[in-house]
Amino acid sequence: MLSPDPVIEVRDLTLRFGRKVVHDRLNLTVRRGEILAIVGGSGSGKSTLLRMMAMLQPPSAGTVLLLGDEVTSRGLVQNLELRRRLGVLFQQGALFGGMSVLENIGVPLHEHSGLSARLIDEIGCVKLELVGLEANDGLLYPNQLSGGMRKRAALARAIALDPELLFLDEPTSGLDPLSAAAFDELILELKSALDPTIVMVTHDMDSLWQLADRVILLGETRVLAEGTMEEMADSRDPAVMPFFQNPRARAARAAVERSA
Amino acid sequence: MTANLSPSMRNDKQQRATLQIKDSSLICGGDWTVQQLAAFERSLDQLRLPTGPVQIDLRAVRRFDTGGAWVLQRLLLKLAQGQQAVDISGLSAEASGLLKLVSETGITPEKVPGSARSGVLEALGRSSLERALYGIGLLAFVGEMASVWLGQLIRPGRIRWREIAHELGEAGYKALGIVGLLSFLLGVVIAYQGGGQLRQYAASLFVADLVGLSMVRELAPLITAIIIAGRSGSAYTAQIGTMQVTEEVDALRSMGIAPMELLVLPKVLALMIALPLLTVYADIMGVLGGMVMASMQLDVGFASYIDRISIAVSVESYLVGIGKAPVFAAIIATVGCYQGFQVVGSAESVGRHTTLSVVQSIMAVIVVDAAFSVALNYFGI
Ligand SMILES: Nc1ncnc2c1ncn2[C@@H]1O[C@H](COP(=O)(O)OP(=O)(O)OP(=O)(O)O)[C@@H](O)[C@H]1O
Ligand SMILES: [Mg+2]
Repeated sequence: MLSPDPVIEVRDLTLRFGRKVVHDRLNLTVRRGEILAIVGGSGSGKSTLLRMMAMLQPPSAGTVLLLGDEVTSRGLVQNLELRRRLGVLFQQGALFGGMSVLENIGVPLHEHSGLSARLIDEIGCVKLELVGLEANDGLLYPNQLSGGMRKRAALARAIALDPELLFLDEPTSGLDPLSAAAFDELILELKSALDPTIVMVTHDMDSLWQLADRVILLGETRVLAEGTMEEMADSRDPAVMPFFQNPRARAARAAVERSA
Repeated sequence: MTANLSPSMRNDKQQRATLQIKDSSLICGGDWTVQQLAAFERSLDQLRLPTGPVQIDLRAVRRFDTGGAWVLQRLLLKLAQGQQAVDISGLSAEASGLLKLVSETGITPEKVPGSARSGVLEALGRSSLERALYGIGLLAFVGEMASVWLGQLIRPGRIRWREIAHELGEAGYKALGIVGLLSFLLGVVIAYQGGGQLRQYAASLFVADLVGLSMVRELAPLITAIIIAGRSGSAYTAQIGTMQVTEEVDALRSMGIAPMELLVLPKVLALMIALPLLTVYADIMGVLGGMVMASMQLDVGFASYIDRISIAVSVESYLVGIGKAPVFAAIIATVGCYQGFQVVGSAESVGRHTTLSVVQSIMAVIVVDAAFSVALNYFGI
């Protein structure tokens, strides 16, 4: 269910590192309730764009309107208020190594809720089950988890506060095809249950077909194209075709059409 | 994704969650979200639930999230245990979706794994075992190190001169500044504190004996070892520990390179070379510090001070002082590297083992120094 109501508006966003221009007056809108995928070549600035939208990196120029608030000029405290409504799944998981999985999920809850430790553990277990782990896995430490379990645990922590907005950086990278498909499935389930707006970066053609309501292709410091997956795949634009007209992309499409 | 609210409500003031019991009905209100549930959550277990059929009225609930859904689910589970009939009213579509989601996870309060809290006796046993294993592990480490070292002595081509040179620069050359400054100040302090007493007995010249003997025989080796334990021992632990976390140590092993050979031995050897040299340097700086102080406070000239030093400090004392340094170096480097390999998993573990490494190596250095004193005294040196 898409509403035109924008959750994020990026206006004339510019990002430079020294003399290197990563984004040059970039514009985009994220609508409430959609799953927006950001794609592009390696080094095209997908991760940095995600980081700017999640308030983890200040832009060189331009503004980001996040949940109706302009974030570039806000003080830290208000930002904290706003950050609480976001969840971020980092590419490497970024679980705290010195804590068990359950304690990891408890961190934002302890920080922001004032609930008893007992109830926080219970809510943590609910989240663990939601992401397809078992309550007993909560006692494990991050270095005792497999790659796929780590992603799930990190997702459980990202949704600890039921965020309105969820950022996923390459959620399925590093997973085997079966786990990747299961993870896509999981994201769809969470989406229908908790209805967050999702912005994700991915290289995975299968997840793009599975998940994305809308796709944005980054390149040459700007948005090269945007549209649904079908529109992108059918595009005759020479800037877009290499990305969506290759054997892997076609195979992913064929798989989707077969299952449809 | 907090359910049942329009966008315009998202930004307005939050309300505390409430739960009231009236006769046989539970009346809920406010924001049933994790931020607001704390208002009544802690009294939840003492709540005297009505007996018999129960009505739950959720009409006054404005927001609902998984936390709220779980608290409701918990109540429902409790009522179900008492086999009470429950009638829920005022549950919005989104909220009932959340409730369904939470109940489908099948979590019950009993399923939550308790963090195993152990008794005093168990904790004592565990920590004793841990220490014993630590000791055994350290012994094994020293043994392995010795065997790799012997292998290198037989085939000197395998000695990693480049790494040794690098470590020499890091642990030796770059420490010159701090070691020099601190031992100079130490010499100043000894001369200053002792000089006053000596002057009362008109024995000012003996400040050279005081500074010379105490610095050369005891303090210079000790202070240098302590500085190096804090400076290089900790760096060894942090470096190896971080490599352990990022699987770089395993990467080395997989390439057929023994971490012992590449990471440990060069450090140990380099420190065993560097520390005696630094100690000589500290000797000189300490004596210099004493000399400056002696001439300023006690009017002992440089020439007579140096003359006196050469009489007071025997070659024996000098060699004893320097002879301790390689032993200290071996202790510091071994403990530092061993603690590095003890790191498992996380950044936090790196920090813990770095602290341990510094504390243990300084302790060991002081204990060994005391042992030296006793032993040398026994043999009359
Ligand atoms: N902290 C930084 N300092 C300097 N340059 C940076 C920094 N962070 C990112 N960059 C540069 O910005 C560009 C975009 O980086 P980014 O990580 O966003 O790429 P990406 O699109 O996510 O690529 P990939 O698909 O490989 O993850 C790269 O050229 C990178 O070198
Ligand atoms: Mg990236």
